[in-house]
Amino acid sequence: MMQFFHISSIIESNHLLDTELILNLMKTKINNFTKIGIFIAMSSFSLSISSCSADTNTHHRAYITNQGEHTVSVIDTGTNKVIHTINVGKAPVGIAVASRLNRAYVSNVESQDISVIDTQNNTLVNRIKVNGAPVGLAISPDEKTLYAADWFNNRVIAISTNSTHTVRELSIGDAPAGLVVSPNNRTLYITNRDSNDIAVIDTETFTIKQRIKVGKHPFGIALSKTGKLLASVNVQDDTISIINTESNVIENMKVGYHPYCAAFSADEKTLYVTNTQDDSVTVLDIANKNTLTTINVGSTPEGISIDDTNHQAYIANWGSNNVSVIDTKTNQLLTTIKTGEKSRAFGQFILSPTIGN
Amino acid sequence: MKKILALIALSLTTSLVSVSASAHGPTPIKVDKSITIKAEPAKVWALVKDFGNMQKWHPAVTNTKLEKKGEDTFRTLTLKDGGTILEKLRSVDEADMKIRYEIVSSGLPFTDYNAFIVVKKGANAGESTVQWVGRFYRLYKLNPPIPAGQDDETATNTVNGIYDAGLAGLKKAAESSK
Repeated sequence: MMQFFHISSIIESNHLLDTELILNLMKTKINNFTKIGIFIAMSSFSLSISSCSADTNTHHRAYITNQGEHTVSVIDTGTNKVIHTINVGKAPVGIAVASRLNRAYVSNVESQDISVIDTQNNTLVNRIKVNGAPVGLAISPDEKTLYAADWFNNRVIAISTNSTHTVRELSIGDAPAGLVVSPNNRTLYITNRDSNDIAVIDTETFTIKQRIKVGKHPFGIALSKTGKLLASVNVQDDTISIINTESNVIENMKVGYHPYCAAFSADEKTLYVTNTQDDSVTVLDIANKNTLTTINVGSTPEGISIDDTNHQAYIANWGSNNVSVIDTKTNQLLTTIKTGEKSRAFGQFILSPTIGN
Repeated sequence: MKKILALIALSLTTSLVSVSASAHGPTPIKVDKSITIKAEPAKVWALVKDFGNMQKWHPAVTNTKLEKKGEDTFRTLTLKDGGTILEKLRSVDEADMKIRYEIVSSGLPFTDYNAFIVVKKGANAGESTVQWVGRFYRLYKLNPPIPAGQDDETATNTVNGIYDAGLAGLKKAAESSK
């Protein structure tokens, strides 16, 4: 325990919050530690972070990629105001957040890399080179692995968040776009836009277990909190495919024109879908298989994520360079937040506080 | 004006690449142009929403043919150089004075194009502001190297040309006619 305390104080005094650094420190200072020892230390490390930084990390944040100005807007979802704008690589699209690591990952299509943001001070701390066009990103719930879909080379790569070196890669369907990981970390789902299916990948063996045929041009993907419901957003035929991952039953539902992304409500009863060419969000009632309501938002809405604590949905509008906020209890538009040129935010972009995790 | 016609002509002669619904690069392009017109919004809107008469204000268009197919409305624009563009009307919103449409097929060097034109009250009485916003992709949808004439720049320049000429033409038409 003395060793743990020692490491925590180093972190606090230097504000060095890189897990890689800490692991290296541990390796040099405590050579005889086993992997289990490191794991325990990691747990205590995350606890110490949440306690020492409670003032800056109690609010949730939304990380919005702005393709047209190569930045990320950071929104405090408590106040619905932009609190930081961070320069990243060229033409950022995808986003993934890791609350325990205090990291946000941004895929930059044109500079062919992934920007790594320290979410405690919202600064750029690393750049991961990808030879291809990274689009979709997802972080595993254990935050050990970052998955990136490489659109040009039709592959998915798994990057260790610890070493940020590519650890594994897998050839996949044509134009892999959105990805999500099951809550138990075991399954990775990817929409392959040009092969009209979802690839189901075993994350341990990194092989394709199954292919699920969905609608035309699936782009966005969403998984419900328990992992029971999976949704693909089928751009070309204006539908959503909802798959029960336990029974494999698929339901297709009509939404608006050229839908792009979707997010489940925490209770898994409704699905929110952005319709890029209708400038709206469709709210689907999953049990009754119908549309509850359609909400007008900004122009060309793309990425969507729901903050489960304030029950607000955040929608990045590519056309109007802002974010629409919807109250998911009333399904009314609450406010619009000015962000940056061509906001996209493709992926789960709400960073939750680490307390309680 | 010459530039846009030249570009259109070039694209028509060099390729008959159809606007297919298949793959496109991951980076959509936006062109967003506005102009102030010394005419009442209602008058400008009357010109803009008249989907079957674009030749009344766009200098590159010589003829507009309106067609109904079931619920859908299409127009075929004939350009000065003889090329044609098939467009589909998406919506006409009278309250917001906003019209949305998309290109179904054309010989132009871009793809997956959709756009809206919105008319708003100008800063001064009797003035209007018109905004024209388009979203599209370059023609070439695969990995670099990108063939000449199918890149982002060519696509952007072409749409810039269409919008600049169109908005200038709309201003002229709205300000001159009574």
